[in-house]
Amino acid sequence: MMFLEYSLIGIAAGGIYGLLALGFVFIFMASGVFNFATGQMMMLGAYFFLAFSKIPGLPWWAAFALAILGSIVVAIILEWVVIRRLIGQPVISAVMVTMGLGWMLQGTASLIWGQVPQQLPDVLPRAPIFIGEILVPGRSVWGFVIAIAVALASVVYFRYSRTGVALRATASDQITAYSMGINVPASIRLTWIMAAISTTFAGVIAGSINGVTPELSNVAISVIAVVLLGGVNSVGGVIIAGLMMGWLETISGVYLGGHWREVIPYLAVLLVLLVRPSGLFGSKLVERI
Amino acid sequence: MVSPAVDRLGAQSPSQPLLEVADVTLTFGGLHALSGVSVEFEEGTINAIIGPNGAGKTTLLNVISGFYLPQQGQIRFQGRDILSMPPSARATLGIARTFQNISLYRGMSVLENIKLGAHTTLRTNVLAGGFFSRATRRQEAALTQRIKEEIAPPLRLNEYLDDPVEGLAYGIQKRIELARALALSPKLLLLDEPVAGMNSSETEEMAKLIQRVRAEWDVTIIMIEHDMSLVMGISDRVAVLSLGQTVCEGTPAQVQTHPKAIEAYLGVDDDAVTEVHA
Repeated sequence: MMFLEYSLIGIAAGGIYGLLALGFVFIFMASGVFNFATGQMMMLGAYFFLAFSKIPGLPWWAAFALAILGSIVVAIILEWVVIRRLIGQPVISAVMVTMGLGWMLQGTASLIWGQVPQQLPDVLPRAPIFIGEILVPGRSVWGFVIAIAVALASVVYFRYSRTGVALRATASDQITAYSMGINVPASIRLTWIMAAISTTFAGVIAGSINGVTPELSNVAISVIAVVLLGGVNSVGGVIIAGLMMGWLETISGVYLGGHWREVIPYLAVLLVLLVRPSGLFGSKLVERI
Repeated sequence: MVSPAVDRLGAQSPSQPLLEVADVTLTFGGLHALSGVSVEFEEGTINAIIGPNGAGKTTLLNVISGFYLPQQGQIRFQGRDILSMPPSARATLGIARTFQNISLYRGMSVLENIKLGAHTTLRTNVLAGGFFSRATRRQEAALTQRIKEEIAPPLRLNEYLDDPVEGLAYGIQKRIELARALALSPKLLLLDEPVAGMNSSETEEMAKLIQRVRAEWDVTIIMIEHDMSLVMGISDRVAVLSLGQTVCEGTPAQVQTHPKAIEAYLGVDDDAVTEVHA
């Protein structure tokens, strides 16, 4: 019973990983950029929500909408001012630049909001939920439900909407997409906007469960592992991999001790990658000659 | 810089050309990929650009479709300078192209691939994205119908429309690419080696197709091609490019006997000269 309970809590925590990984994968698929600032974007979204929720008389949902808007503005500026100039540059430049951007965002956040953990307004219902006989904290359940709903919505958008088709075309072959009249720079910008939305959702969910500090960004280190586990080009795969990661972390933390939760999941990812280098659900990138 | 002298053979029609490449110079680092290239393409014609490897043919096509920005010169489409437009905007004007290597989207069906070509002709906003609106559905259905009735039959693609593109024969994939370009309802179609890797009967079929496209859809065609039987068989005009310059331009018959055209090939490849004479 304990095992089931912790499993559910772990999987619930993994919803956030899946959501974050999705933002990461969209950007990667459209432009080939590994966005190492994903965690910081998430942290910033949470702080935006905190800041806007302090405006007197503003309902929480309006504060949340403003937080999303703020994150989108930041993402658009980052993409437009910095990332766009990296097109055609070696992959490593993009890696270094997004890492640097991440540290800058994190530093700026600690300058503005300080290192002290802050509590987000209570948005998610606290009342525990019984699933059969098992008791799960309400915020975890609701956080999970929202994370998965947002993730699935963006998958549906990516898969079926016409804009999503343009995105997929861009992801698969930029040059051809461009010559068919698809506005490739706009498609790439759209992936940054989608990432801003998903990271803000993730940030607010994670922040309302554990509070917000600039170190919230570090959650995203697991996201890199999630993305590699699921496969960088698999939209559905990273969501499942996110849930697996959350489960592994919680279970190894509970049964082997807190330190192991930082070891076992990565070990598992390493093993999977040795057998399946393109991840559990990723398709092999075939080099055409 | 004065543009190098180009031998223009045959009478030029007095009307405004559909596409004018005027004195285009493009350098990569110190390398002159194109130096002062000027060539005009009349509406409703089939044009070939030939020349030895490295002459700048694909570069010129990339300049026309907007992937390279030349340092100097102009590209006028229907009298309008399009140099400042990105490739997507040029596609919207009606410039479509195919690629030397097949660049179809894997994981999509043949029909979906062709539909993608008409992406810009469907108007929906980003937010709605158009998955639920009725107008979008109707547009989409009309497009599918147009593909099934007008585009697929001449290209003999109807039987494959629902198949995934991967695994289809090379010749069929080439026809899908052409269909995708036609879905854009282009005024100008750029073909980069349309029969590369095809056998002679496939080549013959493609030749008929290109002529049919010109006749039935009013499309002006510019192709890069090494297959001289195709070039000389169906082109109205041929431009010979060598070392980034147009060395001569005219009807197939004129180009075949032009000393500069022969020289352009002679310097590089003996076989090509015999092909020119053939």
